[in-house]
Amino acid sequence: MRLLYEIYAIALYAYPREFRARFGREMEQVFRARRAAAPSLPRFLLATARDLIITSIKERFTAMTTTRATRSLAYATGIAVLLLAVGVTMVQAYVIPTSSMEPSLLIGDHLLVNKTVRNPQRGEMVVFRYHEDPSQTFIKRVIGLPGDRIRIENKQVILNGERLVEDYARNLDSYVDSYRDNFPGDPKLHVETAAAEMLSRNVKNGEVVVPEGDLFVLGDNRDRSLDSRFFGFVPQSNVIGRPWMVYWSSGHWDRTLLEVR
Amino acid sequence: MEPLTPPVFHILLALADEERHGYGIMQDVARQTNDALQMGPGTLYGCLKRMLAAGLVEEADERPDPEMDDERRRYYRMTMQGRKTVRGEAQRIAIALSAAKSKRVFA
Repeated sequence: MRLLYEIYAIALYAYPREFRARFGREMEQVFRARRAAAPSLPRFLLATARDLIITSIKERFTAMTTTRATRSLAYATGIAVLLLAVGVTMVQAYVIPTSSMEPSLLIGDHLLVNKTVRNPQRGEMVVFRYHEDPSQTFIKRVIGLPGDRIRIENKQVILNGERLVEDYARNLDSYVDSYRDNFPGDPKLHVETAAAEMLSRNVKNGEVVVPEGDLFVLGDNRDRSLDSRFFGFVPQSNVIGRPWMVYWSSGHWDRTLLEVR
Repeated sequence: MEPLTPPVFHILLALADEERHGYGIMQDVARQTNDALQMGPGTLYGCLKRMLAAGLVEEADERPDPEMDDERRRYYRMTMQGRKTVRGEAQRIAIALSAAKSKRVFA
């Protein structure tokens, strides 16, 4: 029977250290006394094993969450992790490095982006991975959805045959470029491969036709913007989300918590 | 006040008349309940730990039990708080019992 007692003594390691230190010796005494009085050894061992498994789990659990302070800490950590996980998947922060979206977005604007928006509509801003270099993130405005016909006449965007009213856009140059401002004209300068492809494949009757699965985007600062005119269509699968608000802007305190549209 | 769990209530009852060690408590609880409540050592000492923390019981001294071997055993006794608690619980059960009788679910 000595072996049995030793096995029980080892089994007591299932309990938390403090519990074992305080009650271990007494539990061994009880075990021996009960063993001596038990009419059936197998039934006694079964009942003891059951008791040991259930209560050691219970004691370990209480030991983990024993004080109110640790419990609050555990809850707080859990909530923080949850919020962080939700935040990282649904909202992301970006900073605006160029003037291509002025006057809507200024250099130094820190943006929160709603990442749940995957299908931006015409006239909405969109944040996307740049297809020529996926490590770069761009922000532009959606002008054309799949099937839309787009041309630019003397800086005026014509969408599906109608002049587009764009209160968000601005032109800084009086100079009229034969490509930038009369699109799709003849690009005298180098354009990205995707733009060259767009010009060779998707131009019909002097208009660009947006293919299925793509977006045509332009910067609001029309004369200072690298956009679909120069890098071609944006694959919808590259869309990260829609800008939601400026949470902070360096040098423009009045833009704090400004909703962007 | 929350109803006591059966093990806590019966441990308090076991200590109502005298100090007992762990095995003594188990034996008395088995007697009280006609062997219906057979606590294992984990259940017993888990309850005792919480009851010590709640001030329902306290440790008495360590001494051998004359009816058993000559090993020294830790004895436990009920505190005033424990006595008040077990009295309250017994009253609650008595009221529940008389309600059960008046509704003829119990002879």
